[in-house]
Amino acid sequence: MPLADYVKKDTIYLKCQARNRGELFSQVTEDLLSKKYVKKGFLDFINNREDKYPTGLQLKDYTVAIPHGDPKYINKPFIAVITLLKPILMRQMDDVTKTLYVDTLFILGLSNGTDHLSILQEIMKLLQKGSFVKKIRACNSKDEVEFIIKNAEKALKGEIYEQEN
Amino acid sequence: MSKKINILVACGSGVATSTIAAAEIKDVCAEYGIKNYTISKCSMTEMPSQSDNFDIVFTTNNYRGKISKPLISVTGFITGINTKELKKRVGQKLLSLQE
Repeated sequence: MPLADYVKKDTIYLKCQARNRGELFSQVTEDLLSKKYVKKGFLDFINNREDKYPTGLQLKDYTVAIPHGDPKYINKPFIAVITLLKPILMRQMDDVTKTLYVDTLFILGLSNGTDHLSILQEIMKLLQKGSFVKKIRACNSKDEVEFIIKNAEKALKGEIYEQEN
Repeated sequence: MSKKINILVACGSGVATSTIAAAEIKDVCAEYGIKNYTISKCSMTEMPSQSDNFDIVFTTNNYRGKISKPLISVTGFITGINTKELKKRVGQKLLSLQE
Protein backbone atom coordinates (compact mmCIF):
# COMPACT_ATOMS: atom_id res chain seq x y z
CA MET A 1 0.00 0.00 0.00
CA PRO A 2 1.60 3.30 -1.02
CA LEU A 3 2.05 6.11 1.47
CA ALA A 4 -0.62 8.21 -0.23
CA ASP A 5 -3.21 5.58 0.75
CA TYR A 6 -2.46 6.06 4.45
CA VAL A 7 -2.95 9.82 4.32
CA LYS A 8 -6.69 10.05 3.99
CA LYS A 9 -8.50 13.32 3.59
CA ASP A 10 -10.26 12.92 6.89
CA THR A 11 -6.95 12.59 8.78
CA ILE A 12 -5.48 15.82 7.42
CA TYR A 13 -5.68 18.72 9.86
CA LEU A 14 -4.50 22.03 8.46
CA LYS A 15 -3.73 25.29 10.24
CA CYS A 16 -4.81 23.96 13.62
CA GLN A 17 -4.83 26.05 16.73
CA ALA A 18 -3.70 24.57 20.02
CA ARG A 19 -1.93 26.06 23.01
CA ASN A 20 0.07 22.98 23.78
CA ARG A 21 0.69 19.36 22.96
CA GLY A 22 -2.00 18.04 25.30
CA GLU A 23 -4.63 20.25 23.73
CA LEU A 24 -3.62 19.26 20.19
CA PHE A 25 -3.54 15.54 20.95
CA SER A 26 -6.99 15.77 22.58
CA GLN A 27 -8.50 17.62 19.61
CA VAL A 28 -7.07 15.24 17.03
CA THR A 29 -7.85 12.09 19.03
CA GLU A 30 -11.46 13.16 19.53
CA ASP A 31 -11.84 13.42 15.76
CA LEU A 32 -9.99 10.14 15.09
CA LEU A 33 -12.22 8.39 17.64
CA SER A 34 -15.38 9.71 16.02
CA LYS A 35 -14.14 8.44 12.65
CA LYS A 36 -13.27 5.08 14.21
CA TYR A 37 -9.56 5.22 13.28
CA VAL A 38 -8.48 4.71 16.89
CA LYS A 39 -9.76 2.97 19.98
CA LYS A 40 -10.20 4.30 23.48
CA GLY A 41 -6.83 4.48 25.19
CA PHE A 42 -5.09 6.00 22.18
CA LEU A 43 -4.84 9.44 23.77
CA ASP A 44 -3.28 8.20 27.01
CA PHE A 45 -0.89 6.06 25.03
CA ILE A 46 0.47 8.82 22.79
CA ASN A 47 0.71 11.24 25.71
CA ASN A 48 2.63 8.77 27.87
CA ARG A 49 4.83 7.69 25.03
CA GLU A 50 5.68 11.26 24.10
CA ASP A 51 6.58 12.00 27.76
CA LYS A 52 8.91 9.03 27.97
CA TYR A 53 10.17 8.77 24.42
CA PRO A 54 9.59 12.04 22.64
CA THR A 55 9.44 12.24 18.84
CA GLY A 56 10.35 15.85 18.10
CA LEU A 57 12.92 16.01 15.33
CA GLN A 58 15.18 18.87 14.42
CA LEU A 59 15.61 18.51 10.68
CA LYS A 60 17.92 20.72 8.65
CA ASP A 61 15.52 23.62 8.18
CA TYR A 62 12.36 22.46 9.90
CA THR A 63 11.13 20.89 13.08
CA VAL A 64 8.58 18.11 12.99
CA ALA A 65 7.24 15.50 15.37
CA ILE A 66 6.22 11.97 14.49
CA PRO A 67 4.18 10.66 17.46
CA HIS A 68 3.27 7.02 16.99
CA GLY A 69 0.39 5.06 18.36
CA ASP A 70 0.47 1.43 19.39
CA PRO A 71 -1.16 -1.09 17.00
CA LYS A 72 -3.30 -2.11 20.00
CA TYR A 73 -5.26 1.14 19.71
CA ILE A 74 -5.55 1.31 15.93
CA ASN A 75 -8.73 0.28 14.10
CA LYS A 76 -7.83 1.43 10.61
CA PRO A 77 -4.24 2.38 9.76
CA PHE A 78 -3.68 6.08 9.04
CA ILE A 79 -1.12 8.83 8.97
CA ALA A 80 -2.48 12.10 10.30
CA VAL A 81 -0.91 15.22 8.80
CA ILE A 82 -1.12 18.26 11.06
CA THR A 83 0.02 21.79 10.48
CA LEU A 84 -0.26 24.40 13.22
CA LEU A 85 -0.76 28.12 12.97
CA LYS A 86 1.43 28.62 16.01
CA PRO A 87 4.12 26.16 17.05
CA ILE A 88 3.84 24.14 20.26
CA LEU A 89 6.63 23.08 22.58
CA MET A 90 7.67 19.44 22.38
CA ARG A 91 10.71 17.41 23.33
CA GLN A 92 13.49 16.07 21.16
CA MET A 93 13.78 12.41 20.28
CA ASP A 94 17.52 12.34 20.76
CA ASP A 95 17.47 14.14 24.08
CA VAL A 96 14.42 14.15 26.31
CA THR A 97 15.79 17.14 28.25
CA LYS A 98 15.80 19.36 25.15
CA THR A 99 12.68 21.13 23.93
CA LEU A 100 11.89 22.46 20.50
CA TYR A 101 9.02 24.28 18.84
CA VAL A 102 7.11 22.12 16.39
CA ASP A 103 4.58 23.32 13.83
CA THR A 104 4.18 20.22 11.66
CA LEU A 105 3.27 16.76 12.91
CA PHE A 106 2.75 13.38 11.36
CA ILE A 107 0.91 11.05 13.72
CA LEU A 108 1.57 7.48 12.71
CA GLY A 109 -1.31 5.14 13.33
CA LEU A 110 0.13 1.99 11.84
CA SER A 111 -1.14 -1.48 12.54
CA ASN A 112 1.07 -4.53 12.56
CA GLY A 113 1.75 -5.31 8.98
CA THR A 114 4.34 -6.15 6.46
CA ASP A 115 4.50 -2.72 4.87
CA HIS A 116 5.18 -0.98 8.16
CA LEU A 117 8.88 -0.63 7.43
CA SER A 118 8.55 0.63 3.88
CA ILE A 119 6.00 3.26 4.92
CA LEU A 120 8.21 4.53 7.73
CA GLN A 121 11.25 4.63 5.50
CA GLU A 122 9.33 6.52 2.87
CA ILE A 123 8.11 9.11 5.38
CA MET A 124 11.59 9.61 6.77
CA LYS A 125 13.03 10.03 3.28
CA LEU A 126 10.39 12.67 2.52
CA LEU A 127 10.95 14.49 5.81
CA GLN A 128 14.69 14.57 5.27
CA LYS A 129 14.02 16.61 2.16
CA GLY A 130 13.28 20.03 3.60
CA SER A 131 11.22 20.96 0.55
CA PHE A 132 8.56 18.40 1.46
CA VAL A 133 7.85 19.92 4.88
CA LYS A 134 7.89 23.37 3.34
CA LYS A 135 5.27 22.36 0.76
CA ILE A 136 3.05 20.67 3.34
CA ARG A 137 3.18 23.78 5.51
CA ALA A 138 2.06 25.91 2.59
CA CYS A 139 -1.04 23.81 1.93
CA ASN A 140 -4.44 25.44 2.32
CA SER A 141 -6.51 22.45 1.33
CA LYS A 142 -6.56 18.70 1.86
CA ASP A 143 -6.46 18.19 -1.91
CA GLU A 144 -3.14 20.01 -2.03
CA VAL A 145 -1.71 17.76 0.68
CA GLU A 146 -2.79 14.66 -1.22
CA PHE A 147 -1.33 16.01 -4.44
CA ILE A 148 2.00 16.84 -2.80
CA ILE A 149 2.30 13.45 -1.15
CA LYS A 150 1.46 11.63 -4.39
CA ASN A 151 4.00 13.67 -6.31
CA ALA A 152 6.67 13.34 -3.63
CA GLU A 153 6.18 9.59 -3.72
CA LYS A 154 6.57 9.54 -7.49
CA ALA A 155 9.71 11.66 -7.20
CA LEU A 156 11.14 9.24 -4.62
CA LYS A 157 10.62 6.39 -7.05
CA GLY A 158 12.24 8.40 -9.81
CA GLU A 159 9.04 8.48 -11.85
CA ILE A 160 9.04 12.25 -12.03
CA TYR A 161 11.74 14.81 -11.51
CA GLU A 162 11.15 17.22 -8.69
CA GLN A 163 12.99 20.45 -8.28
CA GLU A 164 14.44 21.09 -4.82
CA ASN A 165 13.16 24.33 -3.23
CA MET B 1 35.66 -16.63 10.33
CA SER B 2 35.21 -13.31 12.12
CA LYS B 3 33.47 -13.14 15.47
CA LYS B 4 29.70 -12.95 15.29
CA ILE B 5 28.30 -9.58 16.42
CA ASN B 6 24.95 -9.53 18.16
CA ILE B 7 23.36 -6.14 17.61
CA LEU B 8 20.42 -4.70 19.53
CA VAL B 9 18.46 -1.70 18.25
CA ALA B 10 16.04 0.04 20.60
CA CYS B 11 13.44 2.80 20.26
CA GLY B 12 10.43 3.94 22.27
CA SER B 13 8.12 1.25 20.97
CA GLY B 14 10.64 -1.23 19.60
CA VAL B 15 8.74 -1.11 16.33
CA ALA B 16 8.96 2.17 14.46
CA THR B 17 12.20 4.12 14.46
CA SER B 18 14.26 1.10 15.51
CA THR B 19 13.13 -0.59 12.29
CA ILE B 20 14.48 2.32 10.24
CA ALA B 21 17.73 2.37 12.23
CA ALA B 22 18.11 -1.41 11.87
CA ALA B 23 17.79 -1.09 8.09
CA GLU B 24 20.53 1.57 8.08
CA ILE B 25 22.79 -0.57 10.27
CA LYS B 26 22.33 -3.46 7.83
CA ASP B 27 23.46 -1.12 5.05
CA VAL B 28 26.53 -0.16 7.08
CA CYS B 29 27.36 -3.84 7.64
CA ALA B 30 27.15 -4.48 3.89
CA GLU B 31 29.30 -1.45 3.17
CA TYR B 32 31.99 -2.54 5.65
CA GLY B 33 31.94 -6.18 4.61
CA ILE B 34 30.53 -7.35 7.95
CA LYS B 35 28.61 -10.53 7.27
CA ASN B 36 28.49 -12.41 10.54
CA TYR B 37 25.91 -10.60 12.65
CA THR B 38 22.38 -10.65 14.01
CA ILE B 39 20.09 -7.68 14.56
CA SER B 40 17.30 -7.66 17.13
CA LYS B 41 14.93 -4.89 18.10
CA CYS B 42 13.32 -3.99 21.41
CA SER B 43 11.73 -1.07 23.24
CA MET B 44 13.73 1.35 25.37
CA THR B 45 12.09 -0.11 28.48
CA GLU B 46 13.33 -3.60 27.65
CA MET B 47 16.75 -2.44 26.48
CA PRO B 48 18.71 -2.32 29.80
CA SER B 49 17.80 -5.90 30.73
CA GLN B 50 18.16 -7.18 27.15
CA SER B 51 21.54 -5.55 26.56
CA ASP B 52 23.43 -8.27 28.47
CA ASN B 53 22.65 -10.71 25.65
CA PHE B 54 24.16 -8.47 22.96
CA ASP B 55 27.55 -7.08 21.97
CA ILE B 56 26.45 -3.57 21.10
CA VAL B 57 23.33 -1.45 21.48
CA PHE B 58 22.01 1.31 19.21
CA THR B 59 19.17 3.60 20.30
CA THR B 60 17.13 6.25 18.50
CA ASN B 61 16.18 7.87 21.82
CA ASN B 62 18.76 9.19 24.20
CA TYR B 63 19.46 6.82 27.09
CA ARG B 64 20.69 8.43 30.30
CA GLY B 65 21.42 5.35 32.35
CA LYS B 66 24.43 3.09 32.16
CA ILE B 67 24.68 -0.33 30.57
CA SER B 68 27.63 -2.70 30.40
CA LYS B 69 27.73 -2.77 26.58
CA PRO B 70 28.84 -0.13 24.08
CA LEU B 71 25.91 2.15 23.23
CA ILE B 72 25.62 4.50 20.26
CA SER B 73 22.76 6.92 19.71
CA VAL B 74 21.63 6.78 16.08
CA THR B 75 18.92 9.47 15.87
CA GLY B 76 20.85 10.77 12.85
CA PHE B 77 19.51 7.83 10.85
CA ILE B 78 16.01 9.17 11.51
CA THR B 79 16.67 12.87 10.88
CA GLY B 80 19.09 12.36 8.00
CA ILE B 81 21.48 14.86 9.56
CA ASN B 82 25.19 13.92 9.47
CA THR B 83 24.29 10.43 8.32
CA LYS B 84 27.66 9.99 6.59
CA GLU B 85 29.68 10.58 9.75
CA LEU B 86 27.30 8.45 11.78
CA LYS B 87 27.62 5.55 9.31
CA LYS B 88 31.38 5.80 9.57
CA ARG B 89 31.26 5.73 13.37
CA VAL B 90 28.91 2.78 13.40
CA GLY B 91 30.94 0.92 10.77
CA GLN B 92 34.24 1.40 12.57
CA LYS B 93 32.78 0.40 15.91
CA LEU B 94 31.28 -2.77 14.41
CA LEU B 95 34.60 -3.63 12.72
CA SER B 96 36.38 -3.29 16.07
CA LEU B 97 33.89 -5.69 17.67
CA GLN B 98 34.55 -8.27 14.99
CA GLU B 99 38.17 -8.75 16.07
